[in-house]
Amino acid sequence: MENLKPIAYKDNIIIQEADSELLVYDLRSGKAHCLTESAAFIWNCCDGRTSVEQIRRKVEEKFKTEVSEDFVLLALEELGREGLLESPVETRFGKISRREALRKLGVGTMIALPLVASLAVPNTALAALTCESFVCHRPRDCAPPCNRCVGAICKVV
Amino acid sequence: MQEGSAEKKISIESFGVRVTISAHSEEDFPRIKEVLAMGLGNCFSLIEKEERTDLYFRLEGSGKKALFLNGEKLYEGPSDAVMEVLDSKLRLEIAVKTDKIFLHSGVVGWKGKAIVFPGFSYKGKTTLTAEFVKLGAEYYSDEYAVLDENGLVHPFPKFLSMRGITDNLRQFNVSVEVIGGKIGKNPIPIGLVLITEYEPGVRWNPEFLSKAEGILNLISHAVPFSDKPAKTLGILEKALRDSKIVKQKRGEATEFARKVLELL
Repeated sequence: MENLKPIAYKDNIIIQEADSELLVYDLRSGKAHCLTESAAFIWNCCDGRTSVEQIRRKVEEKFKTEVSEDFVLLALEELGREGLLESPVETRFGKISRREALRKLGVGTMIALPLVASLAVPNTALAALTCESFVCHRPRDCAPPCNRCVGAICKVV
Repeated sequence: MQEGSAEKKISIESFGVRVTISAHSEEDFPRIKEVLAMGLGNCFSLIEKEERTDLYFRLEGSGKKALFLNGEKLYEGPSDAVMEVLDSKLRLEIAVKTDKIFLHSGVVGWKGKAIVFPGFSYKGKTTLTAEFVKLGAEYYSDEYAVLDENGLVHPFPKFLSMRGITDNLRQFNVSVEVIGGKIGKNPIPIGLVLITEYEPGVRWNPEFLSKAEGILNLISHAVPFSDKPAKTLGILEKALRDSKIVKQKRGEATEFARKVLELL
């Protein structure tokens, strides 16, 4: 891993800071991501010139606490899995479950873990919002979850 | 007035969106005015001189009617059903066209702050709204939280869409005054975002989320997020500046509402 110099993917991305965390919306995938403070910091360190070890030292400096290489690797795996790095990073965490990795790292770490929570924002946002945007004449005009035609509107059964 | 007579129009502006509704039949106008009053909660002003129109609804026919939006046929059927389509489409299209951010959410005012509880259709927003109102909260909306560029919530006090009066699917529009409530008048900041869904018998154990987690929970309720993601994220960040964000499933609505109000 010492030669790994990850690059953050930042094209077609909308970034919104929220306190110390980061909201990232990926226009390609239509997914929104919430990066914890440490994940956001590590993501911003991924410039293609900084190694994992250098990132680890920057994290220690920023958060004034010791962190392991695994801490940085967890962040890179999270970011890579969600397409926020130019190339996904294969780490040793690939062999164990995410929950196990979190448990292992969570013990003895003084700062919040570098995690990425993600949500697919439906392209057909209106459809997801309200059944009442669907007009129907007969039951077959409706589809789940708004699968019953009541009056002229498809409704949830 | 019968089919073939001159077309009559009514033009309004609501949240900056100009809407014209036309019909040939004189008898349609009282119903159209009722749709506007109930469905938009009087959040509109009449326009005397029609200069431009963002949304042009046209009603045709008598007996069986057809409804068109900007020239495209939306629906054809009995008058009641056509009015139901007009009612839901009107709100939705205004939400899409306005420069404000519409979140699909119930909203009440409490101690000068808004409690916002996003949810999809049929997830109990109106039930919870009614419970808050019965406990003294001001009514803002049972369908949309309307956010301005500073993140303040504006009233959108449409009539409450109550189900369960005749069956669990058909909605009836009820004024908030009928349940003893009063309507909030002023734009207010958000004090609490409540991420909730119904689960019978659940224990009260609220989880407090970060602002970013709160925004993540809200964006799929924005209408429509994918059209203006940067603007929506910016406004949500402002809106949640001093807000608590709480995740808690809800059981019985009255007891739940009481506990939520204690959080502010």
